Amino acid sequence: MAGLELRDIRKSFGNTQVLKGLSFQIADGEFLSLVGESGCGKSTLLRIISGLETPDSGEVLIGGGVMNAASPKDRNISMVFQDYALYPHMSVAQNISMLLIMARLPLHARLPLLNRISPSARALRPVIASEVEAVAKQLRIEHLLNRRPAELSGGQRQRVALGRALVRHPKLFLMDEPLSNLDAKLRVEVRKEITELHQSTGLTFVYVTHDQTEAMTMSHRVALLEKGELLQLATPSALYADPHSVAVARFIGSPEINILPAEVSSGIARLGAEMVPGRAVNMDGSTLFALRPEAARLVDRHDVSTDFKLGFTRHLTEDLGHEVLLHGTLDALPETRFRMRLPKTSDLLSGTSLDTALHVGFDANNLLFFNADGARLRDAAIVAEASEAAQ
Amino acid sequence: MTVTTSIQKPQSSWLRFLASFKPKSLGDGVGTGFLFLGAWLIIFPFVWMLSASLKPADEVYDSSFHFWPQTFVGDVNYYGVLFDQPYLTFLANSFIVCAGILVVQLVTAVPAAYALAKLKFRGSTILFGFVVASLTIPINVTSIPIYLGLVKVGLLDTYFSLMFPFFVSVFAIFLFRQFFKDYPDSIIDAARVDGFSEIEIILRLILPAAIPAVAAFSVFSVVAHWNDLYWPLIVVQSQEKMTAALSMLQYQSEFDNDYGRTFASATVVTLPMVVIFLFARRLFIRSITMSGIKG
Amino acid sequence: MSPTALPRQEGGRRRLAYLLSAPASVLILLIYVLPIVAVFVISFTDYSLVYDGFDFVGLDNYKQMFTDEHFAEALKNTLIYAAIFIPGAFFLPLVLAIAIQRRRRFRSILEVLYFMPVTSTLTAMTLVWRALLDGNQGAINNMLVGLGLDKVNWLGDGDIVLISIAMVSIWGIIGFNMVLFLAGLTVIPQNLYEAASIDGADHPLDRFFQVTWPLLAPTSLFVSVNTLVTAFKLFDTVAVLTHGGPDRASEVYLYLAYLEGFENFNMAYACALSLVFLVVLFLVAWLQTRLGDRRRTQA
Ligand SMILES: Nc1ncnc2c1ncn2[C@@H]1O[C@H](COP(=O)(O)OP(=O)(O)OP(=O)(O)O)[C@@H](O)[C@H]1O
Ligand SMILES: [Mg+2]
Repeated sequence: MAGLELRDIRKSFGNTQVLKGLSFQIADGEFLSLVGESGCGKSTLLRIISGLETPDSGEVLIGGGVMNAASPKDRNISMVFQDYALYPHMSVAQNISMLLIMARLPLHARLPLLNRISPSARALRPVIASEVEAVAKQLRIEHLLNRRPAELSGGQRQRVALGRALVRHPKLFLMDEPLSNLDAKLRVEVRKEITELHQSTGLTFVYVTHDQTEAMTMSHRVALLEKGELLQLATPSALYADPHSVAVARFIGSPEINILPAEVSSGIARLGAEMVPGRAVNMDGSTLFALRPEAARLVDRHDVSTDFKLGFTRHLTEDLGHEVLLHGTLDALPETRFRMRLPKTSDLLSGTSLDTALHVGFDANNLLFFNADGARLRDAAIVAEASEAAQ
Repeated sequence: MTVTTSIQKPQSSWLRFLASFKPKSLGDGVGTGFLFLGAWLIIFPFVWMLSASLKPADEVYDSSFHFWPQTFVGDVNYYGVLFDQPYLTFLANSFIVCAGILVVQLVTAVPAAYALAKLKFRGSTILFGFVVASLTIPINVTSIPIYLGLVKVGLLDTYFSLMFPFFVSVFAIFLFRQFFKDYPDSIIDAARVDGFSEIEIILRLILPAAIPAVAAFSVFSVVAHWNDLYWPLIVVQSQEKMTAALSMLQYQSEFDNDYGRTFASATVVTLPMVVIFLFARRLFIRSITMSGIKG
Repeated sequence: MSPTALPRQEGGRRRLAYLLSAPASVLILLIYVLPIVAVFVISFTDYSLVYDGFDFVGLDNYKQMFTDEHFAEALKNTLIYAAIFIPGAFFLPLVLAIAIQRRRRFRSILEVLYFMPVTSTLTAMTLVWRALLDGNQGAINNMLVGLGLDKVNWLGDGDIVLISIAMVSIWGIIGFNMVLFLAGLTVIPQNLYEAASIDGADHPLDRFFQVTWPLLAPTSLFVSVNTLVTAFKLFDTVAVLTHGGPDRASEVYLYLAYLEGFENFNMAYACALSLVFLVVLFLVAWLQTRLGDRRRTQA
């Protein structure tokens, strides 16, 4: 059964189309991350799933049922907001118990004054308190229950927000950039906790972030949005190794993938003025070659073990201790930046200066090919027969 | 299997307007109806006043209300108010008093507020204590001694007596002090390093930055004193110094029963503030919300 | 920079501070401090503008209040008026602000319309109200007759006149308080309402009591204190509309103080009345800070 299914969701604000027909399914218990540039519609999509916003067209199914007409409280979802949206005038315990009070007490027992004398309110109070305590214990915030949000640290507020979401035992857990207000160290810590929470509860999670590390490390699958369209939805490794488009390839991976414009005609490919060895199959005209920075290595000028060997001009070296990043350009394409990620132990680098001529080598099957519009050319290849024939 | 739902663009703006009325907005529509009904009740006195000012006396109290008079005498009424009666003098008096008060208030409050906010001097806490305490004191409490003092120096029934109790606005000092306190010290220090004198700092840095607060306060002050009745009632003794608001009290005796002209004069007195409001709505609203920070 | 330059600069700055604050200080002394002292002193004398000289009479003026039936009457009228005026001046603008804030269309035109009375000259508009409320031929009574109801003697009936005055005052203050409430509402974060609707608080009453009301507390405190003080300060409307009549039925505290001071020239008694009034205002201000502080430490 699908935990969540979206069918052709569209949404416009005024004249700007924010979501342009999104459809996908995620399984029960799956952890899905929504990533994309700022303004691409992640929050809007999340709000449509939660029912805070209504789509112009399309359907939202949660646990198999169409939820378009249901109000947020009837969708059995929980949401963690980016700035937590804790009620500032309530204690932590009251924040967490709000949902239970709303769900279990009749309206008259929720109103001020009346709630003190209502028998149903009095009977339920200890039950609610014990449930709140259980959630607090799970998140290790029992000692904070009587404080107000203003008296908590960022990480503690984050946990209260999680508690408020957990107390419902929802079918679907929605989070909108829940870590963006935390400092870097805390972020890594809470990231781990959220993953553990997901594992221990087995709930379906939809997690919005624009941090690709978060998305890649936490989720089963990642959905990449751009300008209201779904670029690709796949597992982190598939997104990395097998992107459908240049945009996906660019978004995933750090440092960014190298995109090299190439010209192909009658099987012969050129990078700038330089002819590429081997025969280009199934491509023609302007094409893009893409290469991960770690797929390139430095080679000796006379090395023959690689398919490719290109002159490289280095502009900048970043030594990270365990690895080295080189920024520069290929001599064949002086307009295009080229990045390399090398293990620390590259002896070819020792004793060189920025002026030293370097050579880059890589294998043809590490190249990804895209047409000029950025779409992946799956059956394109560079085959070595031409160079073999020449030998 | 791509399903293409063609999104039809509404052809015209009124179609889009109609389309925006979903069932849910029906309740909204009713709510809006009530809001406009309430608004009509609120502005009805203005409408009635305007209408009455165009009518001859015997039509003003007609049992059925028509906005447009059967016999139009608006021109006669307004001519009478402006040229037969001394209303131009009254308006001028109000204007002079408001302007005089405002200028002196600004001249005294801005420097004092700056000193309180940014300069250290002995007595500053005491001065600020007096400012805060005086915020609570209305003119109604101090009127007798001030009146007696004005009698003693023989200045009753002068512009000075109309303005004097308002020459210092503790509210303005309080407000501007708050405003100046938020002005970054680092900029002032940088200006000092650059060789600005203290006076130059006030004139070239602080004043320009204070313009929004000054503008909002000015609206507040002018409206308050244009509409004030209490103090003019006490110190004005002659027609020559009568303010516009005070002049309305002349009609409490029934001696003038040219009702149309009465309401023409009421319109003339009300109009300046309403016009200022319509043109400086934001300032008006800001002047009110600003008073909220006092709390 | 020489070592002496700094102190000299400091001294110059201090001198400048005195210079800048001197005019305001002198005026505060003349307009607030000395008059308050004078009010205090005069209230213990039998001073009157119409006779020369005066004697100290101790607490006589204050004792007189307990026996003065006009004082009792004025106090009673002020409290009745406040009891009618304050709820209307608080809740009507609150409801209006909440209703107006939600809508995008028409919001600004509604704001303008409701705000109109605030900008208008109350004395002039009170003249209009006197015509509208006229017992025989006023527009309001004409409307009542049109609806088949009886005429009401709005200004001539001692039991009704305070209601009429409160009505006019509420009309004048609605826009003012509404603008304050609107300002308070706009700073409530929208996502709290969203969190509330996910928590199931989507009934309007729940939204109001769980989110709006508690978060509006600072604004409400300010508005209620302000409205209370406005109620006590009622003067203009009475002076134009009723002169305290009929038969002192609308003679409120400040109007009495005015009559005693400037019509009867009982300056000393009027000073005592003023001082009592000031004490009440200070009490209100003190209460306001106390409540504000409590709220702040709670938050
Ligand atoms: N209520 C609204 N009215 C008008 N435009 C809106 C509204 N909400 C969002 N938008 C627009 O919709 C687009 C998508 O917004 P959304 O908040 O979904 O982006 P996002 O992907 O969450 O971005 P971020 O990473 O910055 O949070 C933006 O261009 C935004 O300006
Ligand atoms: Mg967002």
